[in-house]
Amino acid sequence: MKLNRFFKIIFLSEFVKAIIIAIKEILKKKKTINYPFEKGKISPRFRGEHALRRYPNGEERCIACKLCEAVCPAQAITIENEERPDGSRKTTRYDIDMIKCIYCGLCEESCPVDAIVQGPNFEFSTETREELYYNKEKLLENGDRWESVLAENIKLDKPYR
Amino acid sequence: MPKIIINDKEIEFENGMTVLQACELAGFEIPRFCYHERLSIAGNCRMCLVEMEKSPKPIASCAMPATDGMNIKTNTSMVEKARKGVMEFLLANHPLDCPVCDQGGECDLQDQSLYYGFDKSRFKENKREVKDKYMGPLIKTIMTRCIHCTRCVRFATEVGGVTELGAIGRGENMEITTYLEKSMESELSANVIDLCPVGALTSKPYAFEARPWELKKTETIDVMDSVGSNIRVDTYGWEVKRILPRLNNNINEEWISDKTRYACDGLLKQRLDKPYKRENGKLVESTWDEIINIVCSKIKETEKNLVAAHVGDMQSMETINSFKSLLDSIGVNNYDFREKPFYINPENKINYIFNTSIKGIEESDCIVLVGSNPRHEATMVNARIRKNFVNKKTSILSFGNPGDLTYDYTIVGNTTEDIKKFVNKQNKASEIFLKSKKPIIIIGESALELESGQFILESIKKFLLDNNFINEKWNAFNILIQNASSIGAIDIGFLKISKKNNFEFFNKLNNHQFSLLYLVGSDNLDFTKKDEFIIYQGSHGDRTAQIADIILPSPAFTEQNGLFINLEGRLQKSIKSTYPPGVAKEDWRIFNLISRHLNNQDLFKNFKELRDNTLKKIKDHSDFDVLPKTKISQENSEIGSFTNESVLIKAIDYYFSNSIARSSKTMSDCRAARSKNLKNQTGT
Amino acid sequence: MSLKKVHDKQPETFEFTKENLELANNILKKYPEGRKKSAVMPLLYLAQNQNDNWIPLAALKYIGKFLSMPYVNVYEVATFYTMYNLAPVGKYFVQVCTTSPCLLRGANEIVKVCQDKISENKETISKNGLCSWTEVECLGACVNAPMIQINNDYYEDLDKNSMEKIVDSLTENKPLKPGSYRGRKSSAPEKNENKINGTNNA
Repeated sequence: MKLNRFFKIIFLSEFVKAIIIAIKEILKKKKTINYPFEKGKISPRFRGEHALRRYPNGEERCIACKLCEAVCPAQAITIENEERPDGSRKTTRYDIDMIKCIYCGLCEESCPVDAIVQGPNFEFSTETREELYYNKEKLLENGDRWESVLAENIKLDKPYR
Repeated sequence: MPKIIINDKEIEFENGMTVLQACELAGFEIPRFCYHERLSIAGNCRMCLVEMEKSPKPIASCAMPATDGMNIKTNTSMVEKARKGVMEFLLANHPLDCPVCDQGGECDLQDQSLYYGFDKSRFKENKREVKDKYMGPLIKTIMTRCIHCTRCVRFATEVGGVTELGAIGRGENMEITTYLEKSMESELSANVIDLCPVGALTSKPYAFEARPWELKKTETIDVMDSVGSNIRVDTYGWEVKRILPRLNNNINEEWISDKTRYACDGLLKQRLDKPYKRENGKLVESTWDEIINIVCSKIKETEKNLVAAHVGDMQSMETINSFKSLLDSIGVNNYDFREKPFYINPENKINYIFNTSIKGIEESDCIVLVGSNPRHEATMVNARIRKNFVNKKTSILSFGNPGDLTYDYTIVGNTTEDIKKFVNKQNKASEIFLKSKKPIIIIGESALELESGQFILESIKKFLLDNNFINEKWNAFNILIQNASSIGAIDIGFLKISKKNNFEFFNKLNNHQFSLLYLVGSDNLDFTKKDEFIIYQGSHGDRTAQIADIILPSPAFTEQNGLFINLEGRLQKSIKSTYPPGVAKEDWRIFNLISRHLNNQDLFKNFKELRDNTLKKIKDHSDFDVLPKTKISQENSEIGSFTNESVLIKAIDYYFSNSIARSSKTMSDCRAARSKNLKNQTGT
Repeated sequence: MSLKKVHDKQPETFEFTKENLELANNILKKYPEGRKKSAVMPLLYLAQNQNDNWIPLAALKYIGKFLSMPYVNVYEVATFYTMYNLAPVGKYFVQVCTTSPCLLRGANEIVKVCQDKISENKETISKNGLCSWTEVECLGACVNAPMIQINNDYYEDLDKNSMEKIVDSLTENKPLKPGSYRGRKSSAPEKNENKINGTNNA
């Protein structure tokens, strides 16, 4: 036992092992990313910034059923609605307080028409609080901007629902 | 009593009960769609299937009379399977549009499919689609959702008394419709919305307004008429979104009239939110301080016997009481609550209330209407009379022609001479009346408005006393008061009359003997302005506000607490469910402000003091929600003079009878639809 | 069967003729006092006979008044039963039974003939204005399947050829005789084979 330890010290075997590991790691692919310039992969189920989607013909999907408002544990959603002249039920107001929101995804889960979704965007920090009170226009704009990704994500997640 | 075994639990039940009722008695809930306690049994939804011993197949419990020794099981796998099967059939043709359906959240089908529904549909065929029907301005129809429970058809036929709904076609093609799509001509029509277990019949004015779970619910009472129907006011923020009936077997059962239900959108429109004063013929905004100053200086400078006061049709007893205290403190002697001069005898409580009680109508075996149209004056009373008529085919007699009352009646005569003959036992009507065991007489305000109004009231009372129809057990004497505030006002004594002259106030008013009028919510007061100075205190910019010189904004009935006594003398609380708009102040606070200004002291320190004081003034009062105890009055009143004239029943503009209803868009739609129907009828 | 359509062109008024009024009063006598409503079905039938085999809305109103019952109840009855026509039908009204026994024996072909010869859609009157046809449920003559009813007569044991002949005769306004078209005597066995299990039963 003592002899073994003696040889280890005399030949610096631990030291050499460490160098070998270090060299191996240098040759491997990097684990970190250069964040603002590079981005990590995000699951299709990622619950980021909210968006209201539209149908391909441009009509907003939301039918003001108020299920998301009812289910929201943080009570971050406020909806007001009306009957359009054509008899359809649509929102006049759809506000989400992004500060209250806890990003639980229940609104997305409860939506019967896939109108409110949480997209992959998590970079929406603002300089003032007020900018985080999202209204219907902002949410619809989000939806328009992210539509291709959102549609893809919903498609990918469909088999598990 | 016969016994029945339900899920191994033996209970006793009354003869004539159905299995479903017995199950309820035993505490087992049976799912149902078509069955309703107050309607006839149809047995067509099949949701209430239960297992009966020795029966090879499940039975429909709602239609099966319970018999002694039955052994019922409601929790077996067979029952479960049967209910699941029925539910699957019901859902086969029911659209999956709960998210846009107004019934969502309070839908029987939704609730029950949670327990008995199947998570996937096996129905691959096309769902049927049904064209929507027109049922008037109140009812929105989405007939594809209909599950054919026929509750609406039975309601319209049995309770409403208008057989206008029907189920046409059969099988999959069955459709509920009105005859050739005209609006339902009933004051109770909107109750089919509550009855509909799905979203086929929903409320048109409330369409897409709100979800049931986000509304604040306040249980209160209605003041549109003197019945005092129990209602639930649903508010969202400040707005009153809808009004629903509340069960009270003594008053409205579980129905309410359309006016009660839909005048609520009038609470949002034409509201007085700021004090106004008239300058150069135009109303200009003002402040409370300024307006109270003007009011007080006006009161100070006017001679007290030239000041008159009046309270309107929807004022709570607290308002009337504090108003009277104010008037007493400044020495005003002319005040009244009546909107038109009809005879009243405030000596004893039985002289001005509906003594038989609304529930008592059901026991009666002969009903006499004297100058009264209960259909428009007190819709829920009319519904009771109809219920009695349907159950017992009671003979109903009328003096004067009230028009269609939804049941058959015989007109005895159209003159006061006929009434005189009646009380002198000189015609056939009195024969029928005297033969019956529990007769009732309902005297309307129209009759009391006649010149021989006093004669009608007093002689009928004497006639009833002489024939022992006013005793401890049965009191056949009824006055049908029209306004919610009337009985309370009489109790508090908000009228100045002498034995000789019942109409002092009106005589002076119409001779323009007053120079200052203080009107609290009196929008129906029949009066033309000459050069009186008018202070109007009320909630709506209605008739009187247009001629007023000073406007003091006060809350409507949903916006302040108050007591009301209904026509049968039942004391009920009206609860504040929302707050008034703008700077409107509660009535008693306004009176306090004036009193502080004039006399340097408050009338009442707080609302509790006011309420206690008010409760003390109620005659023959024992508790809330009970009838007055005294049944007989001993006093002798003068019979009054008799004039032979025709008994004319004044038509009430039902949908426009008060300031709230007049501001309501829904009510004016209803009125338009009604007059259109009338036109069509006379046209063909 | 789809929901019966009420015809868009309606006569303004309807009244029973003198004879029918007498008949109607006789029918009323069958029912006890206060149960006048029960007569609604025979009266509707009477009205249908009087008015070229269909009932106009005016007749529903008239019968409602006649029996002092709500219009909508008359309307309910009239729409419930398939035998009441609420839209005009041809002078010859062909009702083709398509319930299982007839269907098994080839009712589809009969329907095809009707579609080709009378009108593409059921309940539409043919071009010459004489015929119309419809599908109905079992008419109770399954032993003679497939069968049709023309006005009040049964035409039984049909096939494509005989049906074509019948329809042709209708369009020429000279209808053929009702009865079996395979020479059967009512529903007796064919070709005089009137023996069942060796005994002479028929």
